[in-house]
Amino acid sequence: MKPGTLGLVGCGLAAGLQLLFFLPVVGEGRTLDVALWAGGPPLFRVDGLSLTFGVAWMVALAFAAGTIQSKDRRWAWIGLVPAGLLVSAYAREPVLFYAGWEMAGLGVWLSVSRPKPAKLAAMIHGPGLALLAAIAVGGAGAFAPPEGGAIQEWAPVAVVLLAVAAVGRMLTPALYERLTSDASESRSLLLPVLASTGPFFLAKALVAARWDAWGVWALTLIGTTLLLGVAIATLRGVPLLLPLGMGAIAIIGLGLASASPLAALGAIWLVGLGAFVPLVLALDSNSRYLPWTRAAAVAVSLPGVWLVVQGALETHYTVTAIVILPALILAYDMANRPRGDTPTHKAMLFAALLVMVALAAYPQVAVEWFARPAVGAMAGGVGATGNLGSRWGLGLVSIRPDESLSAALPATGIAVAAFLAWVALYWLRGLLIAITNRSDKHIPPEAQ
Amino acid sequence: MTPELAQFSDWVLALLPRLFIYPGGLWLLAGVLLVRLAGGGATAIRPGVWLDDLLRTDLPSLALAWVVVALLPLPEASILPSPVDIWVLAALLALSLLLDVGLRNPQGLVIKQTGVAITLAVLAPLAAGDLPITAPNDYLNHAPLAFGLTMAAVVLGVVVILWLGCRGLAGQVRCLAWLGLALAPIYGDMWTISTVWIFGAAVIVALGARGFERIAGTPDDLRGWTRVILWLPACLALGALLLAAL
Repeated sequence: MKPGTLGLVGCGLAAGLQLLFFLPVVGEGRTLDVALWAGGPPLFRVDGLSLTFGVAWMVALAFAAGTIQSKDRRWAWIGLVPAGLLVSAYAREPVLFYAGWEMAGLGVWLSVSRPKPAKLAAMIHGPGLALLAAIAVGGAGAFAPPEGGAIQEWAPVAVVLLAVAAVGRMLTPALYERLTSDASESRSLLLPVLASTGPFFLAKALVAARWDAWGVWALTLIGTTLLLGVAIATLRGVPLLLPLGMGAIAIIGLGLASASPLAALGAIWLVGLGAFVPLVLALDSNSRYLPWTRAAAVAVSLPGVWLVVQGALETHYTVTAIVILPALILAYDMANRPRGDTPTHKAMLFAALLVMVALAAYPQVAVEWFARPAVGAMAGGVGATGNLGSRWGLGLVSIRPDESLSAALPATGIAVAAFLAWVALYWLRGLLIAITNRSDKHIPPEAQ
Repeated sequence: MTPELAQFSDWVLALLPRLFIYPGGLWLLAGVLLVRLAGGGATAIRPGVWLDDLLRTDLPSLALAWVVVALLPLPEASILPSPVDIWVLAALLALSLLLDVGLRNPQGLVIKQTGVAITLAVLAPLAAGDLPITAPNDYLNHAPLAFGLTMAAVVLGVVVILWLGCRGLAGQVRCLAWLGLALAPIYGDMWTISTVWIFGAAVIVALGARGFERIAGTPDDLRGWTRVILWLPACLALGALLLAAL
């Protein structure tokens, strides 16, 4: 069996089994602490956050594995990536999270034809050192909400170290491209999934404890600076910074999470998407479909970005709230310039486009079924998400404590309006062509 | 009827007049006609030219820009059951820009960067408050300079975009939508009639682009000062953002 097929089947199976065994538990609002032996300490924890990302990462890896053509034996090491990611997703102890994080990184490192082993090792395993230091000085214990609803806070030094670890891991895809210069190889498709574990650790940290006001400020500042850095770098022509841009917005959202649950919901949306969107863009190396792919990727990110922006406005980080959209558009527009040297995986691309457009038009499903349970599990650091309402027939609304509306994203209503406008234009154009006896030859090639 | 279906039905009923009569549809058509007349003279409004433009236009891009005009928070338009954030409308216009196949030319990248600067400018008023649904109350009185800079950034940005070659139908509709969004802070005031302001600004922009072309020549040979002009909308937008935030 080819490595790609094996990966597709294995990761697909892992996602299915998680849903089969854990969804009934999480669906009832319960959590499950799992020990490796009877009477032993609980090492793993099944909750909304772990299940959401355990499944999302396996689906993303299956998606990436489906494109792998190589029969290289080194690919066997890639098997460590899903194993490491699953350990990280379900880890109850921070040290176990670290072990999973390194295991996933090791899988990538061992599978690469190492032209610069020291630099590559530093790139993949360096952020882990910051993570380890954060765990050592953190001040919060296991990834479980404190007993009796007590409030715990992460130490300020730990917050900075967590941010360093997250940014370091998010930088992996961009540095990998520079170090190995094998941008055309499908191996690099796995990296966005690995990169999304960076901001995920911040989410995991919020299960146990919250940031204090200084931590909120520091993380928002780091995220905003990173986002502006990405925007400036893309203006200067540095490619492949999209995962970093999405991760930066996720860091802003997770930074604001202790002050605004809306921002936490948006961050979870973006961290989840961060594993998929760069994959979809990488699938499309044909410039013919690229504007569609980019637009669909922006559209599916918008509900998450909107939520983070609401969180930033709610907490009076207004400049951050405003620069997010322009910076994101820049990062998307420069992402994945057409190479034309690899075939476009049309079937997978169209399936992904369909899913992205559906999620953009009906974000209520993803918010209620994935993001809200995940944020609900972050009870140690994030408050209740009651101020976000889903109007199932229209879209999302943000409601203030006095029941007044503070923001609205009627995504379904807008999708209907866009569809009606497109149909009207399509028929008008057809009618005019028929009346004036013009043929499609009059249409310039780029518009066909 | 379930509440969800009732919400959806109310939305569609309020949407249809907005989409096909005012401010989308007929009103939008009048606006585009005015922009074309001011920008290209009588030849630009001949039926054949319209048809050629429609054949050349990227329909999803045009449809999104049309929807934004239809959803503009104009006080005279029919009331939607759920308002739409200014932020969302700006994001839809950015999407329309990304989708525009007409921008696959050497100037496309600069046009998109200018579009990003305009997006920043129209969002700047949000820095003065925390409600993305409307611009903050009394914004014009509290931050007149920021409003002026926003308008300058949007007008100059649209002039630059038109000069760089984004003159298709989708581009013209986007131009009206951006101006409509930038003028949003004054819609609540008694002394404004939004149509006059938006159409007036659109005519100024179209004439400006025409005049700019005469002075600056074609965008193929960017000279020193025209390169500076390309960065001006972004600088003005940043100024508006900082002033609004203060």
